[in-house]
Amino acid sequence: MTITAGNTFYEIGAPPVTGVGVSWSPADLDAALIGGVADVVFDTDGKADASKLLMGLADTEFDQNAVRRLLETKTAPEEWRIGEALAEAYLTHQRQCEFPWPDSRDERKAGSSLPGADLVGFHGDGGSDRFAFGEVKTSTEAKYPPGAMHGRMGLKQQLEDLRDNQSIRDQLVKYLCRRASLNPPWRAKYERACKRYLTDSTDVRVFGVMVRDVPPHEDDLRVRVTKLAEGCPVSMQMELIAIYLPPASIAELPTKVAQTQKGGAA
Amino acid sequence: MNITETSLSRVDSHWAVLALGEEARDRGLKMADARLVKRAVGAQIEFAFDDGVGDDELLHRLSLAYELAALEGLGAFLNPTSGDDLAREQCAAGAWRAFEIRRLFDLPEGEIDRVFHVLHLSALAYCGDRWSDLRRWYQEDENSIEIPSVADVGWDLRLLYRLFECWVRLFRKRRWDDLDRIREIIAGLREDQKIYESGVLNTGLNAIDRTMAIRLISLYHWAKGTELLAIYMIQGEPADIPALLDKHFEAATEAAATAHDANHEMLMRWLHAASRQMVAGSVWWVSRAVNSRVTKFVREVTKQQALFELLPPQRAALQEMGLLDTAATAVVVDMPTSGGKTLLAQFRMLQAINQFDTENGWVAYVAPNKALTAQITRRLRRDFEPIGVKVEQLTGAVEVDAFEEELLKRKGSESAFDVLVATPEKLQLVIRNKKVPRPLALVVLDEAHNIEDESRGLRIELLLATIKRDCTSANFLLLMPYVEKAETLARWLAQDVKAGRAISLGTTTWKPNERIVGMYWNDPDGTVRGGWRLRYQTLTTTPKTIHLEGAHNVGGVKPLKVSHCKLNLGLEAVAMASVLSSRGTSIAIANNINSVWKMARHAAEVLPLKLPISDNLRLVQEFLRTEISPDFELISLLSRGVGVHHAGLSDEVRALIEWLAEDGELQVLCATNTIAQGINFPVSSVFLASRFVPQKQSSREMSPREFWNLAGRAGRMNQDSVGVVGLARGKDAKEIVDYVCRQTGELVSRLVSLLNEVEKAGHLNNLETVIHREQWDDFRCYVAHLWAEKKNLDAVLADTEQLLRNTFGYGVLRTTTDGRAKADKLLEATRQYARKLADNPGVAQLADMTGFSPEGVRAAFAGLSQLERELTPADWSSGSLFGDGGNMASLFGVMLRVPQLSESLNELGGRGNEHRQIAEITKAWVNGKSIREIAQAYFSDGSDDTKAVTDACKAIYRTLVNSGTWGMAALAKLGIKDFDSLPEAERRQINALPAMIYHGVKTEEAVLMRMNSVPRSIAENLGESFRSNWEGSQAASPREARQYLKQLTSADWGKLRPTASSMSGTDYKHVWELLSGESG
Repeated sequence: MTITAGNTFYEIGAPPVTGVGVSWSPADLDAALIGGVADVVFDTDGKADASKLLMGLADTEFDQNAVRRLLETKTAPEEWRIGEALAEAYLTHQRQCEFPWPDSRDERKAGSSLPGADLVGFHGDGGSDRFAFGEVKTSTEAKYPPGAMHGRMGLKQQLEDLRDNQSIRDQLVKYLCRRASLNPPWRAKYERACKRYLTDSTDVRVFGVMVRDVPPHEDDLRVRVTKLAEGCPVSMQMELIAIYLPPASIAELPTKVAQTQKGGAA
Repeated sequence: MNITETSLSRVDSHWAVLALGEEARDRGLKMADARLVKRAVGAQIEFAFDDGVGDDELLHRLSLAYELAALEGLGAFLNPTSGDDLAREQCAAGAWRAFEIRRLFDLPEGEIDRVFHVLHLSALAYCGDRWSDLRRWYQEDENSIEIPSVADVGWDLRLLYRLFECWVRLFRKRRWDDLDRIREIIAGLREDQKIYESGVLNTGLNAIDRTMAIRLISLYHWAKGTELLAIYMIQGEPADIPALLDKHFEAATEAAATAHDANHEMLMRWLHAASRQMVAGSVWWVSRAVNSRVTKFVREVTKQQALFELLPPQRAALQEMGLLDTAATAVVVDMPTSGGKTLLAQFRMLQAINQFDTENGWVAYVAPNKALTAQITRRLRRDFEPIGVKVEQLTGAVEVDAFEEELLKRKGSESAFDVLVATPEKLQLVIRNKKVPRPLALVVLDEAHNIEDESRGLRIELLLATIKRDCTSANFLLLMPYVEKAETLARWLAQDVKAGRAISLGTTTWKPNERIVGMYWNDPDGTVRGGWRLRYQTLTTTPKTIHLEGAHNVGGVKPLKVSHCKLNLGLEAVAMASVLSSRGTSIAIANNINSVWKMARHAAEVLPLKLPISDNLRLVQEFLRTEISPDFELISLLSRGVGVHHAGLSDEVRALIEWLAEDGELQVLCATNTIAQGINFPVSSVFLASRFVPQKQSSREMSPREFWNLAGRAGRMNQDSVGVVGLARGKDAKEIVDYVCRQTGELVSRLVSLLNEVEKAGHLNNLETVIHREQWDDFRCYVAHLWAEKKNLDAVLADTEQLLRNTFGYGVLRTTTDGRAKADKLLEATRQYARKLADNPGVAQLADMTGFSPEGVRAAFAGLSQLERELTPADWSSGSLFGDGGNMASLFGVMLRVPQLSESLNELGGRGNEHRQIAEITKAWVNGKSIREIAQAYFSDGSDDTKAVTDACKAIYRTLVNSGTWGMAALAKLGIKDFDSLPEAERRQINALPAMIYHGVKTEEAVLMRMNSVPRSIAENLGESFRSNWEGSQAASPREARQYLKQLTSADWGKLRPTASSMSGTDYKHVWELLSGESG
């Protein structure tokens, strides 16, 4: 997979909370899509998964018609989902992260009223590992910062939750733990990260990624970087990343991804 | 699977836990203990410990570490075919610890977070085998389980909240209908779906709708799994419940994971495990496919007693340790106090009855004293009678009276009982005299550690030996707490290594609740005149109770209205009990009855009047007014929630006091050490003025086993997270520190300890003389029984060694060289004694019949021969015996010559002319004089009414009903020539006399009433009514009398009540129901 770092447009803040704005050229974006982001995004098994989920539902004796209708309708991948895949790929290649879970077949928790994180994995930290949690927002809004930053489900709230709420972080660790008990290849990373976390439950990396298609501007992140730094535990490292895709490219992403999947060039 | 100390220490060393560092782990666990204790007892005891900065965060991390360890083993936990027992154990132990810490966390604020928190915690509790702790957690904070309103919430939350309600019901299982309601709730949700579902699936945003659809799939499966589980818990069906739960919970988990909802997914995983654990621990699952009687029993206890699941030690005993293995003919269960031994015994009894169905076999349940006999009878009747298993009880008197004789001899379809409850002494008579013409299928010996008791241990051991010898098909079940190497006992009884099974759960980590054990003392306090305050220090103990460093203040300054200079250990004990009583009933234990009354008076001075007086308290007060005396001091004490419990009260009064304590009506219960044998109900705290108990003229230290059995009662399983136990420090702090660390050790046969004492005294070579001493009475009776059976010296001598081999002690002795020498001496002394018996072989037979030792029989004969004239059957009529004149005094004169009776009877007389005094008291008692009248006539010097009543009660309930009835029954058999050839009616009439003394009534019908727990004040009137109005009242059995009583209404009782009684008909009926365990 080829994921470029992009051109750094601005860098703000200082540890433990930093922000960076990078811009991608159309070529950078195409390379990323061809390089595997589309595979991550495209829900090839979506239909199969839905039928697996629907299997046995009749035995619950609840009416299954509405649920079945919804899940059996095949839909094109949404922009936010592609944004998340881009962010995941970016952090994996440019920030030494590994996100073993969720895999491509997960339905994202959009609309969920329960706390969590879009990305849960590890950050390679000079021979050691620690947990990495990421929240991703995709926005085409020509406003700095965009509306996706605020509100109940906004990036601001989500990052503050990850910074301040140990229970939320604990849940994510447990979520990985159950999967780690099946002895996956990342088991050793998990144990290393876990040990650090259990010694200090703020010893994690938190990423807030905004996928944008407007001209780069530090106002997207500036205030947030400053505010998050207030009360950020010393051991925690928070980084806000704004990835600026070519102007007006987000709306085209679903089509591009679909084409990539059919084997055509982007 | 039972969590063991090993599995806990293994999980303490799990890499995730060690990641915090050992020091942090230890601090965290200590902190959890301290917080638990502070929360439970902080209002009464000022526990000083520093709550450091960051401790909350540390506890969060520690609980997470344990949960991560548990999660690693969750797969194996859920998969019974997994061979990875260690992983399974890790899951349970991790959950155990995680629950221990998480239960102390504050409730989250939002409704959804609270719902998740409570369900998660509850599931951890189940997987960690701590459901009894969980129920208590629910009770301590009802807000935690408040069901959020479903008004104005979306369909998914409506489902979540309703399911929360269902699971709260499943976890707490208050009543049968608590669970039955779950079906209705789920059915209601299916209806609600039609109205509410579309509201959350049509937002117009496909991604959100799809996520919601997946979440609903998870919730629907969860709902179905919940419904199936609830049905199983109340009906025991469907039989393939584990597979069905797996199916629905796996689907619910998968859907939650797909929706990337970590919180919900984890909850589904834990609830899945909890549901499986709940099924595995349910009475249905554990008893499936045993037999139809057991199934009926389970149906009954689930419906009537809301008993749906077994405590972890019970489950382990049944499922893992083979309690019901028919190949195990002798099972010894060593289980912690309050571990639920009786239920285990019930399962085993039903199995035995089933096994011996065609032979019409019976079960003997042996309880150590009259009070416990009555208590167990009530329980067994309640549970067994509805399923057609008949339970009868024999009186505590050492004689088989006419009514019992009748009850015992019936057989076939006429047989009167399947289970017979009796004291060891009584069962000994029944067995030796072959009173039951049916095979004994099983003997259940409760509190079997009494086998090492100084005064009764030998009798109990020899009872078991006699059963082994005389009832060859009998199985054994011994129940006891805190015994090491219980298998030795099992193998002795089974006479086979494989058939003897020890189920040892004494070291299980499961506890009915946490406990702090420590010592207390008083320190002067100069802030008020004569001021003092109590201090308490917890100690490190063998059973690993919670230890918090430092000494702590208890209550305020001068908690009793007593000056510092007048304090003593008893008052310190009652001061502790008074302070701690705000948490629930506290017991203060002293060494003698006098101290107990004093303590109670002081407690009453500081406790407020309980106004209005509850119906239960009033009922007992009326009972005391009627049955004892209108001025009895206990009546006013009860108004302040203070009770007393000692040998100076009747069994009935003690039973009612226990009932009040169990019902939470008493704040402070002052008792003598005798409560240790009788107490079978939990209390909040226990304080002992001394660890020494009176023993005839001296005192002895309570054995660690006795102490822990008593301390084990501190903490009510469903109410107190922490039970408090205290010993007065007095002047020997160091001894107390050592005492609570002592091991309980193996059971030592009394035969062995007696021989050791003889050896120590240097008399082993004179053993043939020594065995004539009082402590060897039971042993001589045992030898006499062989004589009575064989009736031939050669046969007896040939069998002597076999006779000894049947005992536990002899077998133990033969395992060591030193012991073998003693065993040989014993064999020789026994043979010599057998030769001596040959001089008068008839005596052995009479010893068997009467329960006297052969020497006692001889003494009785000598006494009878010195009477002015030979007694005829006419002298034994009740009119003659209990009327003016008669030979009662002479008969007591004879009894006073019998060593087994004289000591106790002498206590009663005590002013010279003992026999006359005893005879007068007996007559007054049988003729219906009240306790008050007897107290005034025979025990009062005019200065202390309470003492006079106490002495009268002691004389009657401790001496007369035991030694008096025994003596009277024995003398009738010895004093009437050819007793057995008397006409049936005459024999029955004579045989009924001891029962009249025992029950304090003068007619046979009244005896029948009293046998069924009718209060004495109304027994004669009821007996009269029974005779006149009940068809078949002639020679009726206790069961028939019970049928009569059951159909009486309160109005009937009211019509028959004595006019002077302060009890109403309703009161009488209620008391009768309480004491008999019946409902009218």
